Order: sequence, then C-alpha cells, then structure tokens
Amino acid sequence: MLHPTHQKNLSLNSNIQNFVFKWLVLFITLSLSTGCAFKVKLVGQYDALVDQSVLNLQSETESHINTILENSGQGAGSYDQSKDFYTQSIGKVDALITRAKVLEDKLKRQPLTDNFIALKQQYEDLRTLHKMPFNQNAISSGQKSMQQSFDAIVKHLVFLKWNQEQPEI
Amino acid sequence: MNEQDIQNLIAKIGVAVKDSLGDKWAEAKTFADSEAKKFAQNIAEIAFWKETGQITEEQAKVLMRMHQRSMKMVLTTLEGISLVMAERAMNAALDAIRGLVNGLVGFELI
Repeated sequence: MLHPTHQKNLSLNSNIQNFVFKWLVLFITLSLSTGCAFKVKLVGQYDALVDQSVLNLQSETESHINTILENSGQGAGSYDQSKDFYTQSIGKVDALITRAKVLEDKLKRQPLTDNFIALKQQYEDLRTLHKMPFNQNAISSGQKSMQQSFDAIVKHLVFLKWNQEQPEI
Repeated sequence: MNEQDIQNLIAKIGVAVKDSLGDKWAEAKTFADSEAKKFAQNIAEIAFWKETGQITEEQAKVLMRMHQRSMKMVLTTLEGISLVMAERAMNAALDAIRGLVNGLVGFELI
C-alpha cells in the first residue's frame, strides 16, 4: 500500500496531466474550427526569379569592379563611364526589395528584405569609393565586401530552396 | 495520458526535430566561421593600409562601413537560416503531437 503522501502526489500528477490534455484537445479543436492549419510559418517562400536576379546582379557587379581594377579607374573603369551601372544596379536592388517584402509579408522577421536593403547601401558606398581618387587596395577591398554581401544572400536563398524541396511536414 | 505517453511524446518530438534538420546546422556553422574569419582579415588589412598611408582616412571609413555591413548581412542570413530550421523543427514536433493526440482520442481529430 502506498504512503498517503505518495498516493496524494500520484493523484495530483494525474489531475494535472488530465487538465493539460483537456486544454490541448480544446485548443486543437478550436484551431481546427477557425480553419487554422496548425502549422508554424516563420520564413518566406523560395523564389527562383529572385535567385536568378541575384546571381545576374552579382556577375554584373564582379565584372564592373574588375573593369575598374584592370583600367586603374581610368577610361572604361572611370566613375564617369560607370554612372549608369550604379543607377541601374540600385534600381534592380529596389525591385528585389519589393519582391522580398511580398515573400516575407506579415512575417515577424524579414531577413531577406533586410539584406536587400543593406545591399542597396553597399552599392551606394561602392559608388562613393569609386568617386574618390583611384586606389587599387581600396577598390579590391570594396570588391571583397560586395562578394561577402552576395555570398550571404545566396546562402540564405540556398537554405530557402532546400526548405522548399523537403517533404512537407 | 500517463507518464509513459509523455515520455513517448518527448522521444517522438526529439526524433522528428533531429530528422527535420539533418546536417544543415553543421553547414550553417561552417559558413559562419568562414565569413567571420574573412571579416577579421579584411578589417586588419584596412587598419594596416590606413596606418601605412596606403589609403586615405575617408577611404578607410567607407571600407570599414562596407565590411561591417557585409558582416551584418552574414549575421542576418544566419538569422534567416535559424528561422528555416526553427520552422521545420516546430512543425515536425507538432506533427509528432498530432499523431499522439489522434492515437489517444481514437480517431483523426487533427
């Protein structure tokens, strides 16, 4: 025969478990009745168009910076002959920001959108750097920063794509 | 619901979460370590060039800003990856709960 204290504890545990179970069933039933799919959504969808646009922009930017370096900031590598590149690139990033906002709409955290906004600021700083007297080290370093920026975004997209390709839970 | 049911549920959730994540955490960690190393090297380079007069103060300021921003973008990506992992883990756990609840009530409640 159990000690009265142990008997009381077992009874209390059983009551708590039953209480929790009843509320769990009620919550699930209410969720179903309100049409809730009972799934958590924390991230936006993967978008192949965004992915391709990022890769294209990365390639164009690499090519642009290499042109600056190869020409030591003169001629084809000068700022004067590059103004359109900055205007167009920033325009493309603006389109990516708009797209990312749609993909991450209503989500509490919007890391893809945040990163595209940061990428726009990177282009503005790259333009500032390009306007200054040419310096091989400075432009090379700016190139590395742009590469890291793109690598970060591409990595995120890779994970979003992986997530989409997994069997639905 | 008895103690054994709870232990079974905990075990099921653990397996579901582990299966849903696979090797992805290791991949994210490798990425984070590699990018942090690059950031440290780049910052050291800029400081050296500034000290030795190879770049101007203005160029150093712009570059520092760019590198801090690109490193912040890496951290933001890690946040994004964490959210992907969390979503998968939470939904895997909820799926495990669904199985148990349906088993306990004896029909497909959810």
